[in-house]
Amino acid sequence: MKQFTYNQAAMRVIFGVGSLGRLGDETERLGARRALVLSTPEQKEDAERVAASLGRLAAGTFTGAAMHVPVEIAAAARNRAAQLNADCAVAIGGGSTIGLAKAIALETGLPILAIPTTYAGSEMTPIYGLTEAGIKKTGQDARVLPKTVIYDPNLTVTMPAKLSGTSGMNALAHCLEGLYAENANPIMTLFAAEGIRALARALPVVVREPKNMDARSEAQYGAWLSGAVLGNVGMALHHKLCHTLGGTFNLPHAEVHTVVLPYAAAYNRDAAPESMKIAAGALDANDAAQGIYDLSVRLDAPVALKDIGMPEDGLDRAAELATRNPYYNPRPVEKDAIRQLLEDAFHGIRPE
Amino acid sequence: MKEFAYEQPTARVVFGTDLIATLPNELERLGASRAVVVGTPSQRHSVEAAAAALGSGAVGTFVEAATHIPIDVARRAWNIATDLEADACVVIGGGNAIGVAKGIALETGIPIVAMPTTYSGSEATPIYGFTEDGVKRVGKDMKTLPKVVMYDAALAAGLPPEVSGPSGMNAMAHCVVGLYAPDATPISSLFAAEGIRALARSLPIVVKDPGNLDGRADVFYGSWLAGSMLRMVSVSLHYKLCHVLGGTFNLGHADVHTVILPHAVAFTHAAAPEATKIAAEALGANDAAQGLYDLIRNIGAPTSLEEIGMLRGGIEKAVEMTLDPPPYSPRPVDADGIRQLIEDAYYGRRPR
Repeated sequence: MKQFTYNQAAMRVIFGVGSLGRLGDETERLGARRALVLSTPEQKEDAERVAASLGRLAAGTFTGAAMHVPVEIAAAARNRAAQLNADCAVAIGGGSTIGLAKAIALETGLPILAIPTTYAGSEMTPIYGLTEAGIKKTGQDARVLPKTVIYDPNLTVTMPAKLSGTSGMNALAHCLEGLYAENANPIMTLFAAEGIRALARALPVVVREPKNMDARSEAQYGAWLSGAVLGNVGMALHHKLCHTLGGTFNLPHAEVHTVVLPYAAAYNRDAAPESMKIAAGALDANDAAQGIYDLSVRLDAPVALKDIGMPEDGLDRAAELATRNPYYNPRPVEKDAIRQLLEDAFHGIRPE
Repeated sequence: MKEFAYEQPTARVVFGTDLIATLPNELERLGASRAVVVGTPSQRHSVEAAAAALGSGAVGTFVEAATHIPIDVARRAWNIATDLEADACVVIGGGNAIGVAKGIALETGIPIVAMPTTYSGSEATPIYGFTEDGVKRVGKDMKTLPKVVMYDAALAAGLPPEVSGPSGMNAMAHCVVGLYAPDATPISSLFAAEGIRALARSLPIVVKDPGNLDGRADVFYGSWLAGSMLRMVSVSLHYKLCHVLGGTFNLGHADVHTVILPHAVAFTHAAAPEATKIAAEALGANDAAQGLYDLIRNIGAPTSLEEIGMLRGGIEKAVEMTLDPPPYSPRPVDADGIRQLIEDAYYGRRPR
């Protein structure tokens, strides 16, 4: 019988081409009058443009966001927020900038208005991370979940085709693992299937025609849903593998996700047949693992660990690390089988 | 993809068994220790079980029949809640009992934990209504949206087929009609299609086998999605017709929704082809209107206004009232079209 618990956090989403124009109204709706606008140094111009458009509602900017949210930068941003007497953090950017907003919210309780420009999905999750002395610590807190998110696909057109492809596959990974999560629920399954459908349909167009706004819209819609899935249910083998490979061998985040996903799907195929059927349907493929692999090929994204900097002699260590601590996965995680999975992923062999 | 806004409130939804026993945990989560337990007389047994499970966490009960929720019943309930210094309201019952709980929440601001026993969907909406001097006044306030909703299939096992069928079709109407609401979003349409699928597969089961708990849980799932639709999108022609016919000719609420739905959909079909296609697919039918009609037949629910007590002579008055003022409809409404619709519904003709 249907047994599940679904927890939904309050949130408001504005979606659509040109929706950045609603920023002023949405900021006021939060009751904020002194917004601190955040970005990375690379997106400084975006932050300044946003601050200008906020006019008197903007208190200032902080454009020093960096990957993995170093605690020093978080402290500097909090100081800036305090100096300016900010009552809201407006984060324009990807995971780094939204992560910085979360670090501010965690300590101060300031509401976050997020304006994502990538497919990372952080804006939909209560998960935060901070890096101190090279060690990243993550946690969950309802306070860090943005109150309002504005998705304006216009802001994603400058994302390079290649990055769009791998970032989109990273989003697709959240959907796939959400389908067979330990605490899966039908609503997140709906979101996950819709997310896969949208991404699988849109990404090939996005990488071919990065300025196609219909495809950009659909891809960002898929990224939104994937973020919601990530924020709601737990992840499994795929995420553990990517975390291990990325952290230990310093492989690029989105690329690792792109390469590993078909093999994680193949590994779990028989242990989660219902989920795979839903995923295959959403991919319009006969088999989820193969469908994901073929999608990566169509995106001209990497399909082999050897092509993204993984040393072959690291595979044993990776298998050992990824199986050291037990965690949930539909199919039991066994070292030999994981070693084989990594071997296949290393060479980029299409899953059988 | 056109621009849209999507707003979700904080909510916790639990599907499971023996949920009355988990009430103490749920109240603790809310930080409440003085619950008033509300229910209809037919649920007295469950109300007492809930009060017993809560022990000292329950400060009193309120068990009173409240069809259409007379304002004096609502007042009595909130006076009792206030006198008892209740800090939460647990309600076990259908739309009327939940309506009484909403009256308490509206006046006192205390959170509602709802355990529905019917398919009204009221537990998923912030809409309340009270009847004073024979006039029903309806409003919307987020305070009245239950914070926790717990669906225990056993609580609906006693609903007879002649109630389950129309009540389930009433929920079906929220989903189907919501697909072409003026403010439908991709997310509301995901909910709608899922609700249609769940109700279409489960209503025939619970009508044939009322004690089938899998089926009961599935109908609850559909009616929760349907209630969520009422929260997310606004109403249109179908509701106006049902309101006019039900109010003027004193026909049963769920019965009118059941009879009108296939004809309202047939009327709209050509003007909202995308929406009706989604509905048809979710119903597993070639045509949405026919699929709905056949489902109603299959579950033995009424198909004609004649059989639920309307007189032939009332049609002209119903046409006039429906058009004063004309409701929202994807297909423009005119007297001839509406007359034809009501006539078809009056005789229970299968839509062509």
